Amino acid sequence: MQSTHGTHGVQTAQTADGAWHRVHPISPLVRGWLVLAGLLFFFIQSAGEDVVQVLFEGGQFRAARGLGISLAIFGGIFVLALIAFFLSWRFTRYRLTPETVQLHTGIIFRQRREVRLDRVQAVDLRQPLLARIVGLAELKFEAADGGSSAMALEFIKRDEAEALRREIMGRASGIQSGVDPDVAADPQARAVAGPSDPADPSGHPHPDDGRDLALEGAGAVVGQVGKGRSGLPEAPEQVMLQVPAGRLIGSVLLGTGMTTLVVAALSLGVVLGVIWWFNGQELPPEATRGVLLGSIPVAISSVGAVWSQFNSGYNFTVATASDGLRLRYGLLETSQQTVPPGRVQAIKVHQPLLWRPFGWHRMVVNVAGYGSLSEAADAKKSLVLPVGPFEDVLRVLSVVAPDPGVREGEEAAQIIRTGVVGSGEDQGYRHSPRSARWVDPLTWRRNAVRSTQTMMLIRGGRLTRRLTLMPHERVQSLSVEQGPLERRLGLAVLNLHSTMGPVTPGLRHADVSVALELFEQESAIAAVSRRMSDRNQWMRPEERARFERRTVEAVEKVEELSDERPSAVAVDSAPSPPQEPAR
Amino acid sequence: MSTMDRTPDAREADAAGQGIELHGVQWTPVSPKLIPARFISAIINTVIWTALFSVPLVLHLLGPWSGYPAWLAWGVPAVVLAMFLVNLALIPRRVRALGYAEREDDLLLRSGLWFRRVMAVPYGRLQYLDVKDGPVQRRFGIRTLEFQTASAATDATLPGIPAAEADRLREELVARGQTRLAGL
Repeated sequence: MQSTHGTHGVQTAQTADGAWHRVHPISPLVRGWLVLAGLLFFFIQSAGEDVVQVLFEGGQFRAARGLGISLAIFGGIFVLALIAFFLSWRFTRYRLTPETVQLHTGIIFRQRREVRLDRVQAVDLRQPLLARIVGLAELKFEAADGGSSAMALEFIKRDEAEALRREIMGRASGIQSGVDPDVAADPQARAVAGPSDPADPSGHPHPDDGRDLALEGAGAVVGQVGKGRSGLPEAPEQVMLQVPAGRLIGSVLLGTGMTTLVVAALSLGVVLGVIWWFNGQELPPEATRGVLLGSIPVAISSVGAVWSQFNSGYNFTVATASDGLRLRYGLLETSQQTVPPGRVQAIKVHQPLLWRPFGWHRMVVNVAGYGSLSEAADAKKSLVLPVGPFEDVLRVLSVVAPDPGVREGEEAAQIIRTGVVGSGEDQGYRHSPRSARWVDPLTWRRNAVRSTQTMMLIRGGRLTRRLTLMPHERVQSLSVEQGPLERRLGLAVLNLHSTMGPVTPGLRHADVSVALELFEQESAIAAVSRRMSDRNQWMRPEERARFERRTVEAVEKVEELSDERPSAVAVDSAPSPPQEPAR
Repeated sequence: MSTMDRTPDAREADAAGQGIELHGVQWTPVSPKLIPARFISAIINTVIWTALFSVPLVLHLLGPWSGYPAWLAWGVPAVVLAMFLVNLALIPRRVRALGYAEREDDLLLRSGLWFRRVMAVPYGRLQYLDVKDGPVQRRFGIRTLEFQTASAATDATLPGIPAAEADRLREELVARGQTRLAGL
């Protein structure tokens, strides 16, 4: 580690030097500005009258005294708040060691947290509006504990945050070794890396020559890029797609939230109309008032929800780099997420009814550590495509699920397409038996499953279409369930348990024999899947090389074909080694 | 196998291949001591809840709530009591429907009388395993095992395991989990 910094280290590289650092001094203000704003508001509210009297109405003694008292009280609280802010800043320290990130917080009740770098599932960089104005950013780490963020450094300078993120991603994904015991212990990795070469320890073939150059001459990069001031340069990235603002607005307006709002408003109108009609074509004032008062909170919350959809989807960009999938979005508050490949546990492609004429889809994923759907922030983080045509779905899939595992002569894009829009038995989907029409009159031919060598594709929904993809090796546990009615009809439900997130893969009302067969098959695969067994690194060099090759190929393929015929887009452009997936 | 209780329709469905019976699985039933243990807990619950729901009835009979409709005063606790009695009556069969099977790579759990469920928890996926007991369970020398994977949906609890067997299972599963350790 020292070798990369010692010589080239410009001042920002100090964030990663293993010493203790403090967050930026004004960060408590950025975090707690609402408190101060609230104080100011109350002060103006209570003392405003006095101020007016003192200034414009000849300075009455009582008013001046009142003003003095208010000033003293609020000034005191204000100073106390500032002291609290100062102390909280003073007692917050972090440092990066070769294997962990440590954060100490708290004045009276202290907390010392340490996160192992190899357990980090994702690293996010978030900039709320105020932080953005002052050039600060929050750096968040997620570990697979299912709770809130494992650690959040709020706030540090944006440059520093980026350097730190790069450093952490680099160390966690094994780009940098030497200090890394896992890689050092792995003779293969060492052999590839070349133990005597500290400049490029990862040693895998780079698709991008500029990167190798960057690694060799980190000092030169400082001058060139201006960003790469820590030893590691930013991994080169390829933008896969960007969501245009117009499409985003359209999708929000036609989306589920907005539709609900419109339906609610219409039904309210109908109710009022009925009252109006039966009340002798006149509205009683209580009714109007009640309706108005009742609808204000609803309206505020719905406007908030719609706004947050728009804000979080604004300028949504999906890019890939060697350290994983990069998502950037946000209008006022911007975020930048990096999800290493192989950390995506399950994927859902989803199409609300009103998006159908436009061919739009939405995609969410489960990433361990991103938590549940319950909190809006978590739901936002799980989003990998707010709205996009089918080609965009394939683009994202080529990164989050690079190996569709289809057999020779099959077209992965066709299978996925059938999964999203299709019905019946096309492309090898097995749908519910005829007896299921009693319980699923509309969807029994949609509720279907298709198993490839690497994943399960579960589709469902007639009005709102859904397709869930889950790699076999990501199944944590599974269950097959049957109630009395299902028993009569010869049906069963198969649930695959994924990590916490918006995707809950489950096959509704399958034929009992199908459900049991899949249960046996999946439990066998889940039990023996040891792909990630003995490693904590994000990716091995050879894996990363493969990932990079695949994304390059997929992007090229998609770009080549997307202006021709959308259905011909192949996700599995690279010939996949057949023995690999089934293990 | 034979000790496992089923509803008649489940037996019929299994025979016709419509039930969720896995072939070739040797199920181990949980300890029959779970039945009295559950009876005790359920009776305590029944008494407490029936008493709570009888408060209006008592108030009605004693006078302060004399305006309260008598059918409601009698009806609510009666319904509650009936529900609990049905629950009590079903305990033995529900307990007999519980079972587990240690397979080579995973643990199978089964439960449910009418709403049946078979769950597979691969050893390599176990994040942790809890062995719990309460005062009633301790009296009967049984424990509850709780399995947790990285998924919150893994709702795998196995009540009514004799203490010795629980310890054996815990050690066995942890050992197997280590040899078959899998990442997320």
